[in-house]
Amino acid sequence: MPTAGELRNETLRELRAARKDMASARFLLALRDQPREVQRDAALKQLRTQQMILSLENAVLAEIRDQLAAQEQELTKGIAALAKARKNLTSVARVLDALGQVLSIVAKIAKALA
Amino acid sequence: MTRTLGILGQVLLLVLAGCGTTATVGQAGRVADAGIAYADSMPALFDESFRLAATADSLTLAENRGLLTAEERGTDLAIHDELLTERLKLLRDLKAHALVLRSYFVALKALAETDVSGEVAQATRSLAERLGKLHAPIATATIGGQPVGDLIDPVVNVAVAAYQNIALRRELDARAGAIERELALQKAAIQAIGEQMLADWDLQIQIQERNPLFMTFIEDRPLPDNWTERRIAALIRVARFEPLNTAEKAIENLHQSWIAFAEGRLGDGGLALLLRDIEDLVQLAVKLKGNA
Repeated sequence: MPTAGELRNETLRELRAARKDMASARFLLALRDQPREVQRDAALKQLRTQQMILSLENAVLAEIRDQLAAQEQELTKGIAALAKARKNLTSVARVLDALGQVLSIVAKIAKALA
Repeated sequence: MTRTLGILGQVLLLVLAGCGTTATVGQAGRVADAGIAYADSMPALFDESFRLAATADSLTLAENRGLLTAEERGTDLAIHDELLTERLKLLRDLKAHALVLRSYFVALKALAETDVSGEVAQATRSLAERLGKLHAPIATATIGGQPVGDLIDPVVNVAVAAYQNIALRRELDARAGAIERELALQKAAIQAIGEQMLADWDLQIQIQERNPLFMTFIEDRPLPDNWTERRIAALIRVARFEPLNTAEKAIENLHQSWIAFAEGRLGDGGLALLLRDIEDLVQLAVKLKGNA
């Protein structure tokens, strides 16, 4: 049993194939000898086919866009976590340096008290 | 003294734990480079897909225009414009999302490439000197015959790398699956856009090149000198639809490489292939931008 997405993709493939056939020189040549009403009908059908192709393609992209949008929260969390890890890394040097300053003051005090 | 050696021992254990992480910081930087280049290339591909969709649509409208009434023409053009406007909005959303994905890889690269070893070593050395003033034995302590001061630089270098590896492992534990899903969705997007581009490109060649070739051939007139060359060119142009092949190959490789990277089995060969496919995609994006 095909899924809705598979059915939509299959329909798209069929519509694209039909569009290509209707735009072929062989089809246009065969249509040339037909009454104007038949030609008009073919033209309208070709335009409806094109509209359906655009609609279905938009639906496929909208579905993917929505799924990608749902992923954005995770991406944003990842960006924050990576930035925090990097900040921690760069702060190590500052912490050690600050600790060194404190220690040198303690050393001076210890010397004065000795 | 015993306590100082104990602390150094703990640092070394941390270092060894970090070294054991198989997804390395160096690989993270290069995978991130590939991710950034991929995200940067997407807008050009999206723009090209719209250009092809609008061209195929315009050709279809123009081919059938003569058989429609003025009212039908107006109605149809409005419907098609609306559908293409919706397409533009969707592609804009996908471009905006590519920027978020790019930011993730930029953050990954920044962590992998942050080099504070020199800074930390300097601060550690000055700390050791100050500790030495407070407690003289520290200044003269040795490990394996080496003065403690001489061991600071290499230990700090490895400790910084170990920290980066541990941070990277934490990130992979937390989000490797989410990024894998993201790249799988990117693959689906490229596939959908690629199929659309190929079909629109094929239709364009059908109307602009193959149909005139066919009509020329069936007429009772001598064929023009360049007819064969034009026919061959039209036949092979669709088969060599470069954007689809290049983009599909690049996202497929990025997706698979990410999985291998997160599982710690991405080798140098895999990385080199990934970077080559991504480079092809970047070249394509440059070419598409140039044609726009």
